[in-house]
Amino acid sequence: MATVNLKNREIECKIVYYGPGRCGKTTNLDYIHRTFKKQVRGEMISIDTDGDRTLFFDFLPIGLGQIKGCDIKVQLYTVPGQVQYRSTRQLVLKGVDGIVFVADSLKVRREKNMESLKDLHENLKKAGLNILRIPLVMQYNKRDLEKTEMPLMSVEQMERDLNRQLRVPSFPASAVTGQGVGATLTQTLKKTLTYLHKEFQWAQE
Amino acid sequence: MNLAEKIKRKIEEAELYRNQGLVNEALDIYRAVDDMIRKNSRIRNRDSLLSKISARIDILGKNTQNLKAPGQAPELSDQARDLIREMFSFDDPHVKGSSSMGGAVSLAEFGQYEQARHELESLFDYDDLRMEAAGNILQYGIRHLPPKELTLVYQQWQADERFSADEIKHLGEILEQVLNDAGRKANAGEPAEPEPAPAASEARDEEIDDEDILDISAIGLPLPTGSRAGEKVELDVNFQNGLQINLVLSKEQKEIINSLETEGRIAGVIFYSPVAIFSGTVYVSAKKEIGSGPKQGDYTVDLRILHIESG
Repeated sequence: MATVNLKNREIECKIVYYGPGRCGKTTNLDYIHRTFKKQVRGEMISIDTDGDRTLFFDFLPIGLGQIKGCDIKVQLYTVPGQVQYRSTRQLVLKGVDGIVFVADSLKVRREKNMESLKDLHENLKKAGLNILRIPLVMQYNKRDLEKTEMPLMSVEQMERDLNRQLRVPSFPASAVTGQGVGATLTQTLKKTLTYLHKEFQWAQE
Repeated sequence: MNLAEKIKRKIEEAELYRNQGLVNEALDIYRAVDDMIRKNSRIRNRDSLLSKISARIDILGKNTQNLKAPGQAPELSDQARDLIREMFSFDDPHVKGSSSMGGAVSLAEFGQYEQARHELESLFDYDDLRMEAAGNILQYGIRHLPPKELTLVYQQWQADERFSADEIKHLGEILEQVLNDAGRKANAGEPAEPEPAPAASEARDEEIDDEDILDISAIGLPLPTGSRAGEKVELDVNFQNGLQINLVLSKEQKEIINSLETEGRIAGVIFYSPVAIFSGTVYVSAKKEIGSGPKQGDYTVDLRILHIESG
């Protein structure tokens, strides 16, 4: 849950990048770290990667400055995607305010996307949260591979697979090139801050 | 599309998956290609192709096993520990010492048991926190210590004057409960949830991307072990894919072959590319004897570039 200090007009919230292993969650944070230098408030910490795989989580603190009279700080996290690290994902999800679900556009990862979304649903439930209520944005990653002849799912198919019921905002993206990364984060922050305003009435008119 | 093109396309697909770290998917494709080639005896270079694919399947198979097998939780840096303490403790700010307790428990949750135990033991001096701290040592201890060792921890507390007789009795009950639960789980064949841990023999790639690497035609390798340890030998690169380099060593080069141990790191390697010479560290990811074809008996060695020296 976000830390909202109405006296000091400060909000600190937590956004978690979720998704199957190797879908590009860390690459999203890497891109944000490299590109949005003005907003980045500290080093990106990866705990701990081996062979490029996130084992614990990645962490990147960013600041949005003053919005509606409040200083907004955001903690971005990723979870380890591999199936067996479920307990770590549950830990990282504690106190989450908004979620980016990063789905892999490769056809061979279709089932993994669905399994991961189901895992998110179950882990949120365990944390007392509802996937239909929490601010959530979908990202269909690896669209840069459309230029190759690799078997990729269409965005329409991914919408049908993952977003038919949730009906949340979704973005085709390539975390490697940065396409859609900023748009995904911006939309997630908008949804999260709107949600937090409903809860805490923090914004000054 | 003819068979050769089909095989080429499939191998490209498998390599893409491998580069993305999707080892199972890459393995499936390589197996399908292997099957395709075996069923067709009229393919040119059939044996050599099969041997290369078989080597790839072996490496990927090994990688898959490593990914499945959780090892010890990695030792974290102080910075990482501080972050975990700060971000995951969810303690009660109104209770004195609660912050230390929450931080230590977070460390235990992330597999840093020894450090967590040390921090929890430092709370034994606080009357309000001693029992909770000791209870946490037992609860998390069962995930990291054999039951005998955990019992030993409890026995040491029996001689610790800070614990009253009632407290020792209560902790004994907690220990019994913890051991019983663990025994029940083990008997039921319930797998203990693995600690987040590194895939033991995959190498960490901290500083370079595949795209950053130039084509490497040969390497100068200081032999890490054996009677010629330290001697630099120059070897031609058979095949390169980004950070992965493949060498084929003749069976006559026995000393070099024996010197290269799988999962070993070798620093001070010189990389010769057509445009530059640079140095760095490699990781021996696989070594395999070629089982068939004209190079039967020779060895194929896979190296992964871990680090490039700057300047």
